Amino acid sequence: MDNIFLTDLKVICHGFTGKMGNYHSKLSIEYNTNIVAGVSPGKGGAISLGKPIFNNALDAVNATGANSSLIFVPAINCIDAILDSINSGIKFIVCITEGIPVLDMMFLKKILIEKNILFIGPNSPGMVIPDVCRLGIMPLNIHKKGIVGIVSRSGTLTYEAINQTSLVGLGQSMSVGIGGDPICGSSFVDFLQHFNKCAKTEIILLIGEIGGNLEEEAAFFLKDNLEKTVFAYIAGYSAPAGKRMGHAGAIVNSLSGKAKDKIDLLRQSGVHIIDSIDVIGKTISDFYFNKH
Amino acid sequence: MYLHEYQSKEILKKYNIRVPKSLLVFDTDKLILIVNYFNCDNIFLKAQIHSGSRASFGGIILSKNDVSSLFNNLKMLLKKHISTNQTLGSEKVVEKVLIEECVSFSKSFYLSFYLDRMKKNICILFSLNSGTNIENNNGHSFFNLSIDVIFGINDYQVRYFLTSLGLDLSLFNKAKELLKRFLSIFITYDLILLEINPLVYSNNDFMCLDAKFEVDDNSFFRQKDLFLSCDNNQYDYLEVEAKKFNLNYISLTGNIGCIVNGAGLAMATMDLINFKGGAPANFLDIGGDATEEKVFNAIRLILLNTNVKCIFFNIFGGIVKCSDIANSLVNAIKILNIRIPIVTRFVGNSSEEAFNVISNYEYTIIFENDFCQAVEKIIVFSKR
Repeated sequence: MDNIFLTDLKVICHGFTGKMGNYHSKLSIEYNTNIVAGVSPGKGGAISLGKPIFNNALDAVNATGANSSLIFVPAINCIDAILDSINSGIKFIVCITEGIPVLDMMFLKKILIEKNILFIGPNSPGMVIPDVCRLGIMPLNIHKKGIVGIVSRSGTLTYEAINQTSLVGLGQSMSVGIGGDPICGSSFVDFLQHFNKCAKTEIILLIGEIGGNLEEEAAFFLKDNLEKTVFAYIAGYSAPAGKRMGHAGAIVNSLSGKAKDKIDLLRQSGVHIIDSIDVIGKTISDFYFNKH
Repeated sequence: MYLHEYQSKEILKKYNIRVPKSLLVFDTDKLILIVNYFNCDNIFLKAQIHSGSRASFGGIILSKNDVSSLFNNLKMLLKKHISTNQTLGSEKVVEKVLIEECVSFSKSFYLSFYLDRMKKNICILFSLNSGTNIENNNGHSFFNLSIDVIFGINDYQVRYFLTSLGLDLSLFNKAKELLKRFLSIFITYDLILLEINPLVYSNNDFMCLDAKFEVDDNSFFRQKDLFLSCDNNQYDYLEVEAKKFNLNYISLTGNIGCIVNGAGLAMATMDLINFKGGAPANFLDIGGDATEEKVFNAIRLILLNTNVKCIFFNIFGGIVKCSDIANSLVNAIKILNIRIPIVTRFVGNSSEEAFNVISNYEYTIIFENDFCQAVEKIIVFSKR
């Protein structure tokens, strides 16, 4: 994974000519993200935002040398676009699309492991490295180059955390949303490993929520790999069991997924727990400036 | 989305999996035909509601198979409001009753196929214990098999299944065929849960006495028939309404109406209100693409809940402009003639313009960008 962020990204965008894909690609290009081409079946040969459009990912990669892809294709055609991207040899994929059937993700996950592909999403706001690149749909004016590495399962909650860490002057080394679905391409642990190695990241902020066991997995990993100061906020403390809270993955059942269990395990692993959403920035900056 | 027992059993029948002889009834007409159809001493009347533990909460009645018993028992069950330990405080109204023959059996089991998020795989869970309240039998012997999605049901798994349940290996072919069919149904219908409780062994074959299927909501574009058959009466009225407008809405028990963009922020808002001593009336995520129509319908839905005393707007303007949402809010207040307190928090994209929109409007809307203070203000209104 580190190799991916060290090398210069050359990105192709599936769904480049669609309304959402085009709008966000334009903003990303303005943020100096190296989007080199679009992929839209049937529209090969056209030009959009000054970039060439190809019928499939392999043609796009052969013509441009792209090494990563960004996917905005609606759920009904999304798996096809992802497989097209994988077929082109690309090893880094960011998928914004919400609503992919979970069985499709289950099958896809096996392919991602077999081919050693880093896959962010689905149902993700994407990622931003401040002043370097923006892949996805995060708002532009909240980021600030800095020292906090943010990894989250949510969209607007991530923006809230980014905004707060910017306002207190700490800024971010990188912010990434791994997605709110039951089965995602990457996990908290993938990015905790990255942030542990990333020299620019001094503090890690993990934003979790009810449902599944990604936070438990992170707690287990941090037990033996707590190399930097880690803060965590978990949403859904007061959610009723058995109800899906907006995200397909955010549901507590009788055996697992509770916010309290996640918080207890993270705390036992040495993670600083932030109880309340409004004090994320303040809590981290109080800690940081006390130390320095 | 859940399917009713009778819907799940229709699918099982299509796959030649044995289920008891049954009839679905909506009223007490033509009972003599029903009595003759079953031609046995006793029958089960089973309320078709989306909940487990029906037997413990009066949702299943064992009746004599004669016209007067059937009439009295059906009268008791139809239109009955049932609230179980699984209906989260709400009541389900019985509109359909599944009448079934009584089956005698020698052995009964619990069996489910489910999507395991941790293993990222389809798994089978089975046990010698079956029946209601199995969820509480944590200590009991559950067996687990992880499905091989390339080869399907393997022979060693079938042998493990049989020996774990104390069944003879001579049932190998029957068991393998049964598990293969369940797996086929699971994948064909985009299920995330296929639960048979109990699965019984009778007359030299397996039979499903109950069935509960849950379909992946994300599969609606390729499971159109299933979603058309969804019984909306089983869901909260406001939750069904919200779905029509692509809003994520969940009814809660408090009195602060909440409108938030983004599921995570909506959850965090709900938590903070609770943490500070208030009580949200709902969870509502208007999504990242909050159009004027969505904002209007969100407010309309919130006001349909008569518990709501005040409304909290929490918007993080990312791609969506706060000023657009503020305009939509002002328009909705005019059209719906709203007269309850509103506290708004607009952060991010165009939040200053949003402030101007709201402060120019004659009706007082509290504008507070500090998350904590905004929540404290709305709680004060909720307690007046």
